This record gives sequence, structure tokens and C-alpha cells, in this order.
Amino acid sequence: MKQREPWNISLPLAAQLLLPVLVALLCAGVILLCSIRPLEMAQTYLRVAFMDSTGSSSTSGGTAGLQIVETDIDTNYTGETLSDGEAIIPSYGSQYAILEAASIDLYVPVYWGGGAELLEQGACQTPASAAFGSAGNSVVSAHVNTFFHQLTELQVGDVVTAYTTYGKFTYEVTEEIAFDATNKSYLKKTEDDRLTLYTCEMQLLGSSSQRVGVICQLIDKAYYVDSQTAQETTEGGAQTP
Amino acid sequence: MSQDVKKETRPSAAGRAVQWMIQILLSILLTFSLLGTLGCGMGIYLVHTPHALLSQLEKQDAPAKVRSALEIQFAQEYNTTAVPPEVYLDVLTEDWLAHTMETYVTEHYSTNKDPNAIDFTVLEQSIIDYFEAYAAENSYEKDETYQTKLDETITHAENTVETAVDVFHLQTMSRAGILEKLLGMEFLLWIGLVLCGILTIGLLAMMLAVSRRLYFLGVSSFSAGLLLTVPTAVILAGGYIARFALKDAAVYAVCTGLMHDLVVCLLAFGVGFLAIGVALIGISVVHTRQKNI
Repeated sequence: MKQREPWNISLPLAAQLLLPVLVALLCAGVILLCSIRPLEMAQTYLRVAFMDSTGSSSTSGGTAGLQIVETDIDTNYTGETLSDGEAIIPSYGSQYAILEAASIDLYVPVYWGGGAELLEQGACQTPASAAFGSAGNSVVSAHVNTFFHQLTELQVGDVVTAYTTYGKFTYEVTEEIAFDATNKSYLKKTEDDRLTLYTCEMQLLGSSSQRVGVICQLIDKAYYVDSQTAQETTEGGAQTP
Repeated sequence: MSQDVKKETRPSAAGRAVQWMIQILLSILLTFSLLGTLGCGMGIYLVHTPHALLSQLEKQDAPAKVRSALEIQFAQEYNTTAVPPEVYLDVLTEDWLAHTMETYVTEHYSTNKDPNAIDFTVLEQSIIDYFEAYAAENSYEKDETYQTKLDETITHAENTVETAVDVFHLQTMSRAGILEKLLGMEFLLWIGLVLCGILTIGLLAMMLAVSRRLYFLGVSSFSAGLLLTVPTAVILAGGYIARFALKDAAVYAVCTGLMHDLVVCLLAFGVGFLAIGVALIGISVVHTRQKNI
């Protein structure tokens, strides 16, 4: 007679295949129960460490959400112009002008906004300042070792021209300025229409917080008729129910 | 000739149930001991030597990324410091950065940290040479202002480079006391490894003594494999590692690279345990069926 091993009792096949999964689920349950408290404590740190919810990775370290837009600006506009009009405020990060000063061979794009990324693309206009053609102080800055390396060569009487998508604005240098970085008086709103250009002072053995630049007074405004018409159409269309 | 007829002795239903419960309990314990052994082993690998971190430095080309970041930073600072980036970058070669980063990581793993582990001699000399050339060219007297500015520039450059080469932010962790706590866990991890190892061997022996079947060994291995494979696969498939918040190129690359390699290693162990488990269960089931035919 064939002898059977006393402990060799087998389950149905389905049970034998299901049992490992059940044991795994049981172990997972135990682990989860034991992990509740440590996970609660670690949740804050995990959220901070892996806070990029979009799942995207960036190796450039750029500003999240910044869209740098280059614009085609016509510096040879020959159409009709008006002496009065409205400035068209661009979106943050957009190139909205070209600044030209023939006396120092200056020809740089101007971006609306600020920050390290935009300053690598060109000069930047502070959004808190007046857009070209608007009343008040238009403040533009750039790095001294790139776009504004010859800014200090501008002299009183030199002409600076700003070409935008909506008009051409001509300024004349009236004053050379130097101020400490903490002094915001040259960057504030003004009663007159002016352009303030500034950059860092390049001096190895001097103070690294000095700023140098020029103040220019607006001498001519030429709003492009085409852009003004387009602007009015956009605003009028927006009001139609 | 008479044959001795042995009466077959079979356990009762209650006995069979108890035996199965014991086997399942031993399986669960073996699952945890396997996971514990693996966890302690990996923990010891991370805290005992800096090998895991050093291998990431090379794998992710960290020196090149750090040099690129320093190039951008010094170029931006040129606007305010008036020191050309070449003064620093001509001496901060990739080889120098690689050696410095290795030294920095190794030093943080040692019990007697040397605060002057990084040799900034070449950097200091480059800055001094530039200042002397500038002073000579502009006939500038080397007065107190000159010395102050020189010292400030050297200190700032050293701090900048030290921050840049610390891609694993070991200095930050050290200041917060976290690094010392982690490295101090090595002794506990060794104890854990030994205990889990002894428990694993003991449980294996007990399970084989209770029943010579390989089935429950397979159940433990399968469970351990499933518990490792599923979470690691979810992490890899979900791209959670890529959401790492520190987006500095070198830091991001080495930290996510390390996390990725650890998760892949766990996944590999998981797949291995799963395969062993499936094999043992399969052999046991087939063997049992054949014996019952």
C-alpha cells in the first residue's frame, strides 16, 4: 500500500495560486498600518522635496512659467503717424521695443519685465514704470558687460530712439547720473515724460553697489496709425455683447 | 511471509488547520525578514561608504554641470564685481572640480572632518594675480581698500565654489544634524542586518522542518517580491522622482540619479524574489499533483 506523507495535504489549485497574493496583501496591510505615523511626519518634507506637480524636469533652472517672446519690430515704418495715441502694454517676458543710440552704436531689444533670464536676452523695462509713449518715467536697465557696456559714453545732447510695435519715440540725453543701488529716486514716477537708462558701475576696487546711467527727455512721439486702429478695433469688439 | 501493514496516521481537521496557520505565519515572518535583510543591507551600502554618491558624480557628469553653472554665475556677477569670469574659470577645470567634489563627499563621510579639505590655492593665486595686474596697470596703491577687496573676492569665490561642489547638500544636512544622525545609524543597521539574517535562516530551517514542501518558501519569496516590485514600478512609471524640487542642473542630476538607481535596484531584487517565488510555487504544485496521481 502506498504510504502518504502525513503532512502532505494539498489545497485546490486555485487556492494554492491565490494564497501567495493574499499573504502579500496581508503583509502590505501590516506595512501600511505601521507606516501611517512615519508617513504623516514625512509628508511635509516629501511635498517640499517633490513639489513639482507638473512632473516636468528642468535642468536650466529657469523661472517657472516665464514665456520669453521675441517680437518682430519695424524700425523702418513709413506709414502714417499721430502725435497722440495709446501705448500697448505687452505681456511679461515679451520683447516690446528696440532701443537705438547711433552715437554709441547702441541697438538692443527691450523686454517687458526683469530677472536674470530676461537680462540675458536684452535690456529690460520695469513693468512698474511707464511704457514708451505713456506719461511718466520709462525705466530701462541692462547688464554692463553685455548690452549696456557703452552706456556711460552717452553724452548730453545725444539722441536715443525707442521703436515699439505701436510707435516710435525719440529722446534726448539731458543728464548723466550715478546713484547707489538702494536709492530708488531715479526709478520713481515723474511728472515729465522721460526715459531713464541705467546699469551697474564696472569698478574692481570701488563699490559694487553703484549704478550709472542717463536721463533722457521725450522730444518726439509718433504713434503708428495702423496699430492705433487695430487697438481701437480690439477694444470696440470687446465691448460688443 | 506476512506484511506489516502500517496504519495510516492522518492528522485531524483541526490539526491540519493549525499546521496551515503555522506555515502561513512563518511565511509572513519570512517575508518581513527578507525585506528587513534587504533594507538593512541597502542602508549599510549607503551610509558605510560614499561609493553610491561618488558613482553618481561620474555617471551624471556632475563636474561639467557644476562648471557650467559657475560660468553663468561668475558671468552674471561680473556686472557688480568687475572680476572677469575667466579669473576663476581658468583654474576651475573639470578635473579640479571632479577631484574636489570627490574629496568633499569623502570628507563628509569621515568621522574626523577636515574643514580645510578643499584646496583653494590655485583659485586664490589666480585672483591675487588678477588684482596685482590690475593695480599695476592702473598704478593703484595696495592700500587697505585693496586688501579688503581682495580678501572679500577670495572669500566670496571660495564660498561660491564650495556651495557649487556640494551637489548633495551635505553641508546643509550636516548643519541640520541630519547627516550625523544618518551616518550614526550604521551600527543599528548592522545589528538589524545580523538579526534579520539570523531570523531568515532560522525561519527557513523551521519551515523545512515543519514541512519539506517548498510551497511556503515560494509564498514568502513571492510576497516579498510583490511588495518590492509594485511600489517601485509605480514610482518609476509615475515619474515621481522627476518632480524633485531642486532644479539646479548638477544637484537635480545627481540626486534624481541616486534615487533612480536605488529604486531600480529594489525593483531588480523584487523581480528576483518574484521569479524565485513563482518557481518554488510552480515546482511544489507540480510535484504535489504528480504525487497525488
